[in-house]
Amino acid sequence: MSAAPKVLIVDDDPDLLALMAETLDLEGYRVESAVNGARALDNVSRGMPDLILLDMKMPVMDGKEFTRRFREAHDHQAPIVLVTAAADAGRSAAEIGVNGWLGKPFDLDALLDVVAREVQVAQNDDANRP
Amino acid sequence: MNGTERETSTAPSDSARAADILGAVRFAAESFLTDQEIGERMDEVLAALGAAADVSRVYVFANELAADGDLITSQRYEWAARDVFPQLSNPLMQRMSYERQGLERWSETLSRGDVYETRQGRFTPAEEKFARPQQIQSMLFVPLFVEGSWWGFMGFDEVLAPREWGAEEVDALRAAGSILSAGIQGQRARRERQRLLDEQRAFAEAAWRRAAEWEAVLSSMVDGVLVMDTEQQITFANEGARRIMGAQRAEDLLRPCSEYVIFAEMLDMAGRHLDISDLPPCRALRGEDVDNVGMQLVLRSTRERKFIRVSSAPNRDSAGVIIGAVALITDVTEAVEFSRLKDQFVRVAAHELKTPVAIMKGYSQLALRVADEMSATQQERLQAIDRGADRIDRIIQDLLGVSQVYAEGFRLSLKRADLRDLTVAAIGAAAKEFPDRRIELDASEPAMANVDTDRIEYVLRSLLDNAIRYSPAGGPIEVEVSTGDVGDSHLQGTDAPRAVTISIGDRGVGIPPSKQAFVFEPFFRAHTDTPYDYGGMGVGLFTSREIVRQHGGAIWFESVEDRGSTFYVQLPSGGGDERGAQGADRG
Repeated sequence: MSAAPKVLIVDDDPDLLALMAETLDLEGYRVESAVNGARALDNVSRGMPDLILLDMKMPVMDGKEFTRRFREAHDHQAPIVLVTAAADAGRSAAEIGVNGWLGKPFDLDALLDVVAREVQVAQNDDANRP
Repeated sequence: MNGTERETSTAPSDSARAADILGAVRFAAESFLTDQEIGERMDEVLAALGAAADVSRVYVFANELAADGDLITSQRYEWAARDVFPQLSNPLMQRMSYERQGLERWSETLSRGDVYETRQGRFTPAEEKFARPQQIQSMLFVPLFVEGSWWGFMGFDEVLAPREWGAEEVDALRAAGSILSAGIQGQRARRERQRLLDEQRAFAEAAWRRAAEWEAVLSSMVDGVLVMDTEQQITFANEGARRIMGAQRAEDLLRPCSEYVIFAEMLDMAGRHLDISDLPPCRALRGEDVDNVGMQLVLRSTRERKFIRVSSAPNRDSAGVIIGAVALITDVTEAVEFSRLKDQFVRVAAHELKTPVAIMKGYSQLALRVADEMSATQQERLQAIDRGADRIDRIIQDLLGVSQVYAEGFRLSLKRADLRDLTVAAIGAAAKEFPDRRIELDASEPAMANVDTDRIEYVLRSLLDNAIRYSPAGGPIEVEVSTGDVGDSHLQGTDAPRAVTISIGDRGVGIPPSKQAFVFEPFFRAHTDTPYDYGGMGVGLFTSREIVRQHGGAIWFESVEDRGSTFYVQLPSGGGDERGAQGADRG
């Protein structure tokens, strides 16, 4: 792999957004961010990330609606990991149909693990694609 | 003088006077046949008898038993000829004792039903004493019997000269006594009849008043009341029932139970349609006592959804045969709605809390990562912030857990997992919060089960936390994960072939026997206000039990005070998909 994987972080909380961005940046990822689903769709249209970290509850466009539109337009071109404070995070993730989930609050190790795993899976899928 | 005239006049024959007396008796009979009070006719009757018998006085004495058992007699009625002193107001004529006044011959003779006759010259000393003040020359008493027992006597006095009574006269006087007895008996029967009537009327009035009271109670009570007969026909419905069913009038509810679908769709708490035979009063008709069963109604009139709780019991006759059923219906829609709002509030509050906790936790961890030259003290401070954030997160989870239990269950999200991994993760989290405690794990073989991993981790974390908190001396915590045949487990009867058992034991303070029954109750803390009160919400075990139950598992403990406690969690291993799906459907 030549370039570092690109992660798009979508969260309406600026502090949490900054925390995740800094953590991933320190680990060598390229990081982009958006404060809601609509901005995230704009971002994606300018260039596909390798992974999307997605908050659930956001103004303008929430995580569920973003996922629906993203899949509609871009199918499974990038894996989505839900990062949510919802009470039934796992169930929400299954209902929306995302690749993984992380409940808030989380350990940074857990964040880095899920990002590394999903990026790896996506890259393997790409490599295996005919 | 009257008496002198009589003496000088030609005395009528015995038969003639007897005929006169019988004429007076006929008059008496006619008088007593009317419904009039006997007392009102008595004066006339006695006057007729007195005139016919040509005596000085005619009177009636009635017997009674004194409090000490002595038979006494009192004058009740009297007629006296002109110039003869009446004695009715003479106190000596009241409450005379036959025995104490030496008049036993009277009572002996009269009580046998015989006429007693006495006159000057034959008077006993007691009679002498009785007769002299009244100037009595002769007396004749006819006994009066009422309902077969000696009631009293009718007396005929002569004050001028001793009277010789002829046999026919005596027979006629006896006849007068019989008529008088019959009159008294008739009056007594009339009085008894009246008393019964009055009693019946009073009873009917009391019953009517009681019925009116109950009707007022039933119509003013908020709860609904329905009464059903054995044909499943509703025979009574109160205002509360009308309100709950959304009917126009309470009378509209008086119809077969099968027609109640016109008022509302009837569902169980999970929203499943209920057959008529499943309704609580119909179950009660089959002899079942139905206690506080939850139901939903969707009213046809307004489409309003109501939550009700229904209790029902059979009505039995004195022989125990079921003759109907009564149902009591409580509208709990407001309570359910309030509970839903509370649940929603807790979820929103928890959600809002989690993001700032994530920021605290994340930045303390990030700071630890990037600071190369940080002192040990500074690192400890950051670690303390991280642990504090974890504790807030656990409190949030506790609140969410309780809220979900009360909102009728969790939404389990099941996946196949090795319970050893979950146990290791839970131990890791506990070790982070209590770095100086030793936790030993014995888990040699895989322990696969279909579980909601987050929930089971919560259970394990709660049990580990308790074990650590309540073993302050710092003894090791022993954790074991094992598998076995389901037949040997607490899960007998389930379709899973095997069971996974996780035990978490401590050598701590234990649970006092008196408190062991309550440890799974919500907000119960066995060590509140004791030296072993280490805080906590008191909901971990309550929520854990519910989580384990919804997995089709079991949770229990063994505890000895001052020696320690061991908690066991047993979950079905394999074949859990179906059960899991059911669990996930709940709520």
